[in-house]
Amino acid sequence: MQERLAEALDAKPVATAPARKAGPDVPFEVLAAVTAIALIVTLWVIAFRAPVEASMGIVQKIFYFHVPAAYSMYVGAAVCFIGSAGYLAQGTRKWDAIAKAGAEVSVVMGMMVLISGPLWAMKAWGVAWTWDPRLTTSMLSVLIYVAYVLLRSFAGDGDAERKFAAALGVLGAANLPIIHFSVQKWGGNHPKVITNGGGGLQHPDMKLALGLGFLSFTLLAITLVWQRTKLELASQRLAEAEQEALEEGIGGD
Amino acid sequence: MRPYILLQAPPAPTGTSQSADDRSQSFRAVEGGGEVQSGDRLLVIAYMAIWLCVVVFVVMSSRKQSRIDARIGALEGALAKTRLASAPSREKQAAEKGAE
Repeated sequence: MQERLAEALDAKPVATAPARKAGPDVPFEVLAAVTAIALIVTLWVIAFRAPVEASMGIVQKIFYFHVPAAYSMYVGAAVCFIGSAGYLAQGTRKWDAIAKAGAEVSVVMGMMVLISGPLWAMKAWGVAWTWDPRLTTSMLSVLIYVAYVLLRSFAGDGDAERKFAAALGVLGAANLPIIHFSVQKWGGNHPKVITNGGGGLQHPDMKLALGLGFLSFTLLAITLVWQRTKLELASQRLAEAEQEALEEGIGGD
Repeated sequence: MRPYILLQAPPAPTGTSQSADDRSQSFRAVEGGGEVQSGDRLLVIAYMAIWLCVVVFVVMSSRKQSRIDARIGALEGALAKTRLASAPSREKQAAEKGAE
């Protein structure tokens, strides 16, 4: 028993646990700062440069964050898909952490879309919600990633749960092209400004505001995925440290 | 906040009756008819909600990260202490094993 304990103490750290960083994570902090600046500039352009739309009025300015948030939801879902496929192929916890981070970011972005869209629709359509194909498929996608996050939060952290979640992460991505093409194939009320090649944006400052919105939300999605991946890897390291501490007979709390 | 009010016809002038058919076939002007939904208010609510989502997510993540880092630091410190304390006994054990 003592020999085994001695072997455990001499053993190198588990390969999946990255070494702790002594100082601040400089690349991450630079990215976070650039993201914050990009978001502030975008807000300024939306508020002071983008003109008010003729028929909808000022409420159209919701569009400049609503659409990039929807696109970032796709980014989060794509990250979840890649992480899940990587986990199913290789079985390492790093892929699992990336998949979980992608799903969480997808949920946050999806919530932004589902809140800002109905607020715009109240003004533009007179109702907050209709069972339009794009609205319905978007909500379905958000619910898939909410299910993923709930599964990871409450179903334990065993290998079977991680594999089940990875399968959900892979299958959940199948809804993304359906959302994108639903508005073209099945019609509905949802505007087609972007799918028409951006032709609905008549003013160059409108295009600038939307372009900056896409840029800043891409940076925001990458920053959030990075932050949540770091958090998940730290959680895994903590679990391993707790296991080591238990083996050493150190108190669990 | 009730969007269907947009679809309601203005109140009938006093002394006139108005059926559903009348309402669907005639549009009449009304004094002081303004917007029921304020675009400004909806815009402000939308942007507040979006930023609230981001801020809550970032703050929760940062707090959780700090807690985990502190816990890992404490555990690794305790593990290092235990390993240091047990190192002489392990050397002794190894020496005894070698002597046998």
